[in-house]
Amino acid sequence: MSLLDTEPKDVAALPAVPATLRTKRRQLLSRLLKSKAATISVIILLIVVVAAIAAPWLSPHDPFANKLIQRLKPPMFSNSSGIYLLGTDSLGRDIFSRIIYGARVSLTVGVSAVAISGVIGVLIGLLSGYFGGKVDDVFMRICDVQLSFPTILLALTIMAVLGSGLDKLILVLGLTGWVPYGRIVRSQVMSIKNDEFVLAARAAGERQWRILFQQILPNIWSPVIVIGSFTIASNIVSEASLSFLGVGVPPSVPSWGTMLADGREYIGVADWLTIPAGVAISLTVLAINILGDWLRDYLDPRLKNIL
Amino acid sequence: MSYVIRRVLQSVVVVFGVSIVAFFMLFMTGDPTEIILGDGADHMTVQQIEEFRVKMGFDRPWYIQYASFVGNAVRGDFGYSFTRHQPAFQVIIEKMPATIQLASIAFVLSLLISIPLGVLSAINPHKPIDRISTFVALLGQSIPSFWLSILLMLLFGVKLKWLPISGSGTWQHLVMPAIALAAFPIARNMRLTRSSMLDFMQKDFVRTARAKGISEYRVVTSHVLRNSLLPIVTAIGLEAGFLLGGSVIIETIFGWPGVGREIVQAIGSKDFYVVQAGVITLALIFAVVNLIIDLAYSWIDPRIGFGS
Repeated sequence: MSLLDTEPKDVAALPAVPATLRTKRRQLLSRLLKSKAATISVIILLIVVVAAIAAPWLSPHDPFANKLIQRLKPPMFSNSSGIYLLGTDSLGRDIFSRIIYGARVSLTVGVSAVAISGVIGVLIGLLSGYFGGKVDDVFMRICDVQLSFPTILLALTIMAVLGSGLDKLILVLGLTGWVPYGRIVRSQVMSIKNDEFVLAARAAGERQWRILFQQILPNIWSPVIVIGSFTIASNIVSEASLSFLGVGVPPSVPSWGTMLADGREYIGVADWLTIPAGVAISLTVLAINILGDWLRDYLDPRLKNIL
Repeated sequence: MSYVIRRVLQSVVVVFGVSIVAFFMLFMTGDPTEIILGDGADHMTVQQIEEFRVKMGFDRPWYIQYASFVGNAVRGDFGYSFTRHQPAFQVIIEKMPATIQLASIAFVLSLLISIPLGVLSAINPHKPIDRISTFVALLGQSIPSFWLSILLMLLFGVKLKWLPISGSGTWQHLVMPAIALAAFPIARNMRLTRSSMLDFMQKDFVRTARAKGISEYRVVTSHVLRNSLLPIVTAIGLEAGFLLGGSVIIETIFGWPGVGREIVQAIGSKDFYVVQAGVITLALIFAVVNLIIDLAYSWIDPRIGFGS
């Protein structure tokens, strides 16, 4: 009863937020909660985000402090005298704290690189799809060139020349990752650029850039969001891979990839070095992928055939 | 025919673009002398560095350097490897068979597992077999290949001692790298087969076939599967690039003596001529594979070539 009473008042009390947006948000949440896998994924991702933000307060030890006396201590549960939850690495640093700090690197790289590649890809896709002709030809050939390099190989060589570093890594992954956005936006723009609402805007004498950004762009967001979510996952893997190979972030920075590289040296001697970081990457990426799948089906089930 | 010519020209443009990227890689920080000498420059006099620059031709304008780079590359000359003491291109060519061996085994493995699993899932939608294989596929797409490699090493190499941890020579050495390399394509192709099959199952011609009383087995094999293989063929083209690129990490972990590991080692020792030779050769193979697949595709489905 109380729900029925308050709801209309609530909406009326907040005229600034359109009712449709509120219902849409509520719809999204109720649909999300219906899917068990998606709900669990959201919880996992929330944990990762909180770990990344609150790392200094959550870590039981200093993730950078080398204590050679404490090196390669096994996790607490396998050794009753241990004080380190997940053990220590080859320099005596606490693995649990480094896992928490590692979330920072993964999320920073994942999200920032997606922002860069998303902006570039969407712009190129818009121009290429809308204007066609020579512009399209040039962009599509650049796409082909980019696709001929396995991304990891391209990123690896550029990073090797530039030297390791978080900022460089973000830039490299951002600049090499725009192709999927460009291609999907281009095809979407081509399919709607002759629809009535665009023709009407053109007939009304709207400027080209207003048509592009105000008429076309709002109608092609769904695939961009879906690709964005999958790319966050692939960027996290790329960061880990490059750091694993020694050209990502510097070895002193706690990253899940550098932790795995470190652990590989002690395989069979100290397995606790490789298990936690691997689980952290896989769980995070799995959660993002599940959420991406769910988001695709929620936003536009037709995308299933192209993404 | 005009499609074939256009498509070949397109590949030539792509390879040209690749050569530009590979060439300018060395100029990214401004001075290739600096990159190649690295820390060694600290022990040299300014005059020695200058002599090195002139000897390597880095004092010439960039367009002349690029022209001579392309001119030499066409003849298979990518410069001389300081660390291997032989021509850079030869270093790469010698490692090529190992990479192709690993990539092709992973490729065959991925098709043999992914397509049957995808079909099984699609004809039993939402049953346990579908749920399990869909989840395993999702897991396969999410576990980074290098961690999977480490887990395989831990299990089969360290704990069970069934397989050698690294190196090459016997078929046992191939097992773990091939599985690790194939894991992602298996997962992706399985999902692709499943969704493509499910899509075609809804089509009218399949309903008609069922209504005519054709056995379910024939409906699945000759009506649904044959049609749904087309999108999979397209994905396979892009897989060549993935397998060649993915081998960089897998080869490094398992000590497999292929092009990928050679490139990583060359990067470590600043042997950039080998890196350039490796990158261009891999891109060239990728371009040729995709060209062949596109041409084969237009031959299988004539609408593609003549339509556009």
